Amino acid sequence: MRWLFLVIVSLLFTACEEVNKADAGSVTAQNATAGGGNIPDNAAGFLSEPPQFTYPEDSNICLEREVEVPSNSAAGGFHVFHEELRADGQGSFNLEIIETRMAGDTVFGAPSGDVAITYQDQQRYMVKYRDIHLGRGLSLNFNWTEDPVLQQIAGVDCVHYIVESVHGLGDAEFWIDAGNDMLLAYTMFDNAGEVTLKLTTTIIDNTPVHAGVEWSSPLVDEEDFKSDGSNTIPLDIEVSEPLYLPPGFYKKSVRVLNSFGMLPGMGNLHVALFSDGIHQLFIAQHSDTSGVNNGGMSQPPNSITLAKFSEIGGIRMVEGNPPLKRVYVVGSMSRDEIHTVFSSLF
Amino acid sequence: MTDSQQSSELPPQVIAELQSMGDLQAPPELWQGVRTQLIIDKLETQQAPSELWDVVHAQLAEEGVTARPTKIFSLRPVYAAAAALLIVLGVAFQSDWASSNAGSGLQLAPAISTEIRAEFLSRVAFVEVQPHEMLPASRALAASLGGTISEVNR
Repeated sequence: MRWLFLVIVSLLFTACEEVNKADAGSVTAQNATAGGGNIPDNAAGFLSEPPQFTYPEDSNICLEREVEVPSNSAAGGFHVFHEELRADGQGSFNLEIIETRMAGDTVFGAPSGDVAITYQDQQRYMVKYRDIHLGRGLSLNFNWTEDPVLQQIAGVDCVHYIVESVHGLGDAEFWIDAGNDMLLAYTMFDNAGEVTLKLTTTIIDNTPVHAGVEWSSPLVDEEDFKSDGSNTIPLDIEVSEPLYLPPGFYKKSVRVLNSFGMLPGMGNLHVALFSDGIHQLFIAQHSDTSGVNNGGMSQPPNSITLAKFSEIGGIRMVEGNPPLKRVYVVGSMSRDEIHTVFSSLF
Repeated sequence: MTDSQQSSELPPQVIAELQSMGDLQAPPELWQGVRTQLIIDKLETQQAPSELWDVVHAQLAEEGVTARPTKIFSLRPVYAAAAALLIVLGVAFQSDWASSNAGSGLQLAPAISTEIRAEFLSRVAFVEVQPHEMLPASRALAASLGGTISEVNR
């Protein structure tokens, strides 16, 4: 009887595995046939498991690359930022702007003062948050297809991946070095199929000399948020949690930044990062004792909240002020998604 | 009842009571019920011949009513319980996989109905402004995601 028991058990697990594979295959085939977003109808090489990437800031390397973001002007077009990323392979890195070509221009020129300051201040966060780093939930939130033909990026043979968002939040394309899986280029699309960000590596130096490089450092002290109140950077607000997140999103990290006094009445900043494995969304909040708010008077807790909204370079921002607090929601999601997340905080 | 089953005669008291009932007739169903109970009581004390099952089974198989008995009926109860537990766990594992990532306990936000989304949106009135009219914290967060300020965007 013991052998029969083992046979039954093995048959049971085999049946479960076969069902899982059959379901995965049918889902990816169905999505590809629908031709949603930017997936070519004749794409082959469906992947049941997402690939693994390596990232340049983890290597001893120097890259030049071009980053394209959509312009907010009526004429449209893209701004192009020619930048250089250096990393020593020990965790230190530096991101500098070399030159820019703004929408409507035909040649590159020196960066404006605003752009130069932004890169100087934000370089560490741009590499950490702007640059793509695959998170979790990739196989549940995206359908992955590998292009069978290698493509060249900066003279390197690259594997080209086409990624379709299962929830229609925006597709993506990735190019990784076929030799070391390093992410060298990517293009992000919004839910309407428009490009929101495009990064292309143009020059690769695998034996760089980092002479006189000033490595990036955080603007302010920060640490992981502890819900038991044991943070060394104190938080003087009751954190609002969103009741709505875009489908497939999860809480990726929560940090507390020592931003007290950086602006009049500003307390320390609680920053929660949410992601679906590729797209990212910030929800940040801090105390506000400045007495200045949108409508001139602090609003009762249960009234309709007024919020300001804007967009820059494919990134959407919302900010509002419940009593004695300021709340921000920032991300590349559609306006509707960003607004709904913000609204669910009240 | 036990005493009645064991004794072939009715007690004198019962006989006397029955005789006093005169011409009163018992309903036909009463005798049928009593007769059936007497048969059952008699059968309980007897054992069926060992060849009975073979005869009955052969007859039923000839009539196409039954299949040959399977070995599962000879499984010990503990094996059957273990198999049932594995089936339940297999179903639970399969459904849990669909909502989490490879046993990591990852909780992904579900899709929400348009009605609930509309209810959320009704709580806030949004005013669109130029990027430079947003607070520095908003613009810094946007910059860290790639929303770089430029003079052109003003």
